Amino acid sequence: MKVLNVVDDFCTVEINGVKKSCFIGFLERKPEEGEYLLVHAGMAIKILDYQSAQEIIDELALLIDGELRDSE
Amino acid sequence: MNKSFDLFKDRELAKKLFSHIKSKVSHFSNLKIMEFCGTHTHNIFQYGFRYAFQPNLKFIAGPGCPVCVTSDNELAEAFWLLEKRGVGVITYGDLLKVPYNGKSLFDYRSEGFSIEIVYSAIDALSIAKKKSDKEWVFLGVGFETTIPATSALLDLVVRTGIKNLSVISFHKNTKSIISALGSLGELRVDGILLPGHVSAVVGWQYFNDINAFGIPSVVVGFEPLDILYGIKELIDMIEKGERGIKCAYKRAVQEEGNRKMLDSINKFFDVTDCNWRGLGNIKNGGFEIKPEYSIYNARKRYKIENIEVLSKQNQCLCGDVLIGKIEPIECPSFDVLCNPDAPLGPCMVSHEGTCLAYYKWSRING
Repeated sequence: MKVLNVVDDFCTVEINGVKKSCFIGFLERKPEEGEYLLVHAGMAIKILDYQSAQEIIDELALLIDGELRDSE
Repeated sequence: MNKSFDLFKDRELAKKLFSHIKSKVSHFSNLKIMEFCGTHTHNIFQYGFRYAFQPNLKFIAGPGCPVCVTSDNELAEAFWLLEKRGVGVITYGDLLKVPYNGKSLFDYRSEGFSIEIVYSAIDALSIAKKKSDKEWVFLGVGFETTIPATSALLDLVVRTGIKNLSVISFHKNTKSIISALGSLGELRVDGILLPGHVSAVVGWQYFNDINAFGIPSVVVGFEPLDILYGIKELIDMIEKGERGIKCAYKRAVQEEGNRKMLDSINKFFDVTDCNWRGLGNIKNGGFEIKPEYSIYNARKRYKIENIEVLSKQNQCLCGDVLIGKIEPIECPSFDVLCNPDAPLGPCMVSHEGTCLAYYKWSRING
């Protein structure tokens, strides 16, 4: 869920146009506007790490490209 | 900073990865993979993966629906609190229609009993403050994902000194259930997709007990590419004969989990034996409020002891569905006597329930 604003221990997050309030007191740091959170039952569990996500996508793209080359 | 994670919904990459997995599993016959988490069960249906790899690979739904594994004993406690102590009950909406002995919290609410629904546990505080002429009990339901929310509520109750709110814990320990299933010989699977949300709280090493059963496992996220990537990783492990746990959801899950949440759970809760629907009493299967906070524990405050559990016979086989023994369509009541409007058991009620997933997505996907 995308962070829209942060006030004290709470923030407003948005997913598919729906806005919700969530508690961020358990996060390792305060999230910034525009960051994405993993949220469950109104509790933010983790600020999602974009670099880790991109690494997996890159790994998959490489795997698929390699297969296409092998099949040619 | 504005980096979307929609890249895990990339249709083209998903198609190619799907073909890759399809080709890999064609070398196997009758592989069985259990998805522990109820949300995964629904997503595997929603994305069209459930039957896509058959007959080579079959998915088996596991016990990862917290409302579904809430036992009759616990529902009996909630009903007793309403009837015998006249308190109001606050809980998550999913629990409302779960039947016990022919009745649900929804039925109680229709009869005028005070039952409030919350999105988050900490919302219970404002209800208790607003309706201060009544005593309220929050029913804490769920796995390690929702326990921190109950801990946060307990922390607020302690700090504010509010007198008319207490908590009863129906919380379950996912770590114990893997061992229990293995010990019962019910883990007859080649691999396990481990839950993403729970792992984000507890860390993926939490599930190391699986190693005792020699079953490879992968922590998985919830988008289409997350699930496909998790399946690919699991197939790779099975192919190579690898054991252990891998994490395929690293943007959300770390080895050690969320330290603050774990500290909060440890502050307010002890691990205790607990009754799970379908599995009975599980050693270390639940969480109970620590003795030093017993004045906030509704079991102690209202002296709940040995409530007789009544079992009105019905033809619900939720227990067998929860441990992957049968598929919902093998239950004689499925879509005959039992449907979302008239559920016989919790698996047809909860949005994470396996029976509801089969009912809903089989219709949509044909």
